[in-house]
Amino acid sequence: MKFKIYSVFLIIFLLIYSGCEHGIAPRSEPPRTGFSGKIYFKNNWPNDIYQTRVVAFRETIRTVADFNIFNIGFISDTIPYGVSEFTYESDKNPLIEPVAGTTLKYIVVAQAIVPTPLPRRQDWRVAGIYYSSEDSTKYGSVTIEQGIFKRNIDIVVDFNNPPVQPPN
Amino acid sequence: MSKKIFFLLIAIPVLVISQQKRIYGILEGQVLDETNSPLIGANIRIENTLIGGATNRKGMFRIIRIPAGKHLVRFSMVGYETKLVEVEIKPNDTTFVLVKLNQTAIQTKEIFISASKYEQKIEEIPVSVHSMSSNELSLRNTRRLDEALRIVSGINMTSDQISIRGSSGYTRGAGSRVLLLIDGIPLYTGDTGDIIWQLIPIQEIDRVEVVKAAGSALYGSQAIGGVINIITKDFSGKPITYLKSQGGFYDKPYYSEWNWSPRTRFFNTLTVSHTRKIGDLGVSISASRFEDDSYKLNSYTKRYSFYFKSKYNINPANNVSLLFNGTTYKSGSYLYWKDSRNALVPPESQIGEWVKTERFNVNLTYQSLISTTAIINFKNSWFHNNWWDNTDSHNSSKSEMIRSEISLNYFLENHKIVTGIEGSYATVTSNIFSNPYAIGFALFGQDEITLFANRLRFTGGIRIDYQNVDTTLSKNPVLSELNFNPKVAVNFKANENLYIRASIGRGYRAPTPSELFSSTNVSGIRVIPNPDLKSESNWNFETGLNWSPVEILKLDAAIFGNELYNFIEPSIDPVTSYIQFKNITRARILGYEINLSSKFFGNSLQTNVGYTYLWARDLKNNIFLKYRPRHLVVINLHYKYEFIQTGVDFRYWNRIETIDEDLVSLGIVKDGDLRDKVLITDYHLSFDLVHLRVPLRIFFTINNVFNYNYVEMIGNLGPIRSFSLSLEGIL
Repeated sequence: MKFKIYSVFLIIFLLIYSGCEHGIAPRSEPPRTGFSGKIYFKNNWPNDIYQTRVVAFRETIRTVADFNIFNIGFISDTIPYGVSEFTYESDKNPLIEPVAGTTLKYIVVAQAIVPTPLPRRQDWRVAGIYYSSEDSTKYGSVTIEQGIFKRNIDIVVDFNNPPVQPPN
Repeated sequence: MSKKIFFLLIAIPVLVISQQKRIYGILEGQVLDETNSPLIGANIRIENTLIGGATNRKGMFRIIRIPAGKHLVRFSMVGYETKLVEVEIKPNDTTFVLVKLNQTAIQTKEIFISASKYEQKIEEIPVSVHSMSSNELSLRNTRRLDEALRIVSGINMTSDQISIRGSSGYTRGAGSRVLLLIDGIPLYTGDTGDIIWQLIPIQEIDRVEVVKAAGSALYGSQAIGGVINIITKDFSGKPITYLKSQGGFYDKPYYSEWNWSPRTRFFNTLTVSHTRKIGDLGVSISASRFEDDSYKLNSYTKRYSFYFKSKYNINPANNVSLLFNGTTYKSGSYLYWKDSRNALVPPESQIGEWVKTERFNVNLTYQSLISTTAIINFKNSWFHNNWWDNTDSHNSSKSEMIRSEISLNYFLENHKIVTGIEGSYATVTSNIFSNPYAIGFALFGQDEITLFANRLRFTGGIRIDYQNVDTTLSKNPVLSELNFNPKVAVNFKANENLYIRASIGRGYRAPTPSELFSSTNVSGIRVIPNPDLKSESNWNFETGLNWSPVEILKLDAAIFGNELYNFIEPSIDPVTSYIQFKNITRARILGYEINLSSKFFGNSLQTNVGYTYLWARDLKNNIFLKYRPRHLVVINLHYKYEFIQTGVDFRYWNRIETIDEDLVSLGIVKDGDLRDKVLITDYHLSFDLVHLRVPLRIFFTINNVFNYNYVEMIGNLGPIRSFSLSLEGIL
């Protein structure tokens, strides 16, 4: 008889417990974090391009091995072929969204030269680089800070005057 | 050498048995319950032989070709006490018996076939097992078998990947550590080795048997973590047509920001099936259509399935059966959510992606009773698997797997011997798995020795598997391995109510073509082949007891352990950023499981409580194994009053301790670290109007009654509350 009473109490407890719990909940919308900018394309687009994206690396590319997924802090949505201007925002449809606390030291417009590119050096060509506003001979960097959205991270792509390519 | 072994294991017993000449008689009879109503489907077995039969809808049976002389005949049926009756079979004559079986308070004599490839009583099996009836599936309006398996103690599912006692984590469909069988024949794809839950014909299941221990000593690769065997329904003596229609809908999500759809999301199933016997030919045929809008965006499914089973009794000692089971469907691709505020919506890049599939299996079996104590089984199967998607990579894979098995069951007075050989061949044509082939050969044997007046059962067995996998026929194939998987087990009947068991065995799993040769792009990350991959293996041990101290109470408890070697897991190379399947982990899983079944109020109320504790450790990285809960609780309550049945299923897992952190830190699955315990309550209510002579059954269910929000796989919210109603008409 005691067993039956305990069983009934256990069932009632479980039902109340289950009814009161609701599990995971949506996290509150964080303040906008990231960066945006405009890409200006000059002269005619090359023919052998399969994809164009803004790609931001945590560290500059010193060796072929530095071009890897762990060094990439941001990959934008694709930029349509042939446009003369494109505005990107790091929180709008990114392939990889930047994480607060990271510093992106090498931000480029990268163009895929194979139909199904992978995050490896030989599949990509650098078409334009973000330079420091103070010194246009140095790469510009952006530190992602929680709740801060940085603008004007602009890049000029001149297809007749491509930038220095990373090691390959 | 192998020819000699084959001769010893199979040929000699066959030759010896075929030399025996006997004079036969016939046994006829009727099996009734206490109220003199006929019992349909009661099992009749001549003791110490393989001869038997079952009662028809009038409770009648007829067994021919029984050797003349005195025999003990066992009459049994689930829910009734077993009776042993001595009968004398006269040469060339018919003996008639009338047997009455009394209802028992508790179902202690369930029959189980998957642990040893022959019928055993559950209590006498030396490893932990579980059996689920078709009634349990119907009551819960089960649409896919994996839904029902979630309420079996010791089982947890990570999305659609099954784990028995922590055997598996999550590899997105690349390899399963549980072997699925349909009527004893393996059912997994030739490319990924994955279980296709959509292919399983729910309406044709008689029962589902779960073996919660490594089964490689009998079944080979994939059975490293356990075995699930689907036993399909037998044929009806009279023509019966079933029409089952099920409809339902998902409730609104608990949080309004998750409510992405302006309209209600529905699901429905329509199944028509027919079964009959025409003389010595039995036929079952069914077709079904399934549609699910899904509670998640781009996660819909539309499926058509077809099933055909036939068995022809050539003569009383020989029969041949054919099973065709196929499905074709299209489903949306939903890998993970956009973020926790959009928990039922995938990232934009996945919207519009779909996968189409065509899959079928054909099983051809020939069974020959070559003597009263020996049966030979020839089992052949073909599994066709073809799928393709519309992603940028246009992934596709087509595989064919052919398998043949010859086995012999040979019963002596104190021995039950199972032995056989098996061969398999698979080809794959795919733009992501390359175009490999896989060849397998196996030889297995097992003997169950009964000692001390049937109180002690000792089982010893071994299976030798050879695997050869490559993309071209070469002298040095990518994978060429020989695996020896022995097992030793004992079961001791201390008294009528207490059985003690212990077992130790080796399990293994050969890498699948997808793990060896995958070359694709997943969410921007490259997956590359690993031709150096080797098989993973484990040593599995268990000791337990099965105790029924009083009629209304049954306790099953077990302590188990698993030593796992060369565990295959996907691994990200930090330098190249490539994903490869590698033999990276040495792991250990220890745990215990307690199951308590009881009945109250004159058997009207049944309760089952199961608790499993897992200590699942990656010994190399010193972390808890991914996607394994530490505590699992399952509670089932079922109440039956005349034609009404109602019940509640409750399951709990603690918050998963370790997940794929890389997917979160790389920003691929946003809010992917968000997870909580699993705390799900399902309710069911049914009316069996057949009791009132109306040929209709009505089933109503509410799943996830409290609309609890949980994830099994990161970035994937589990099913929200849903309501369903099904009507089953019997013509």
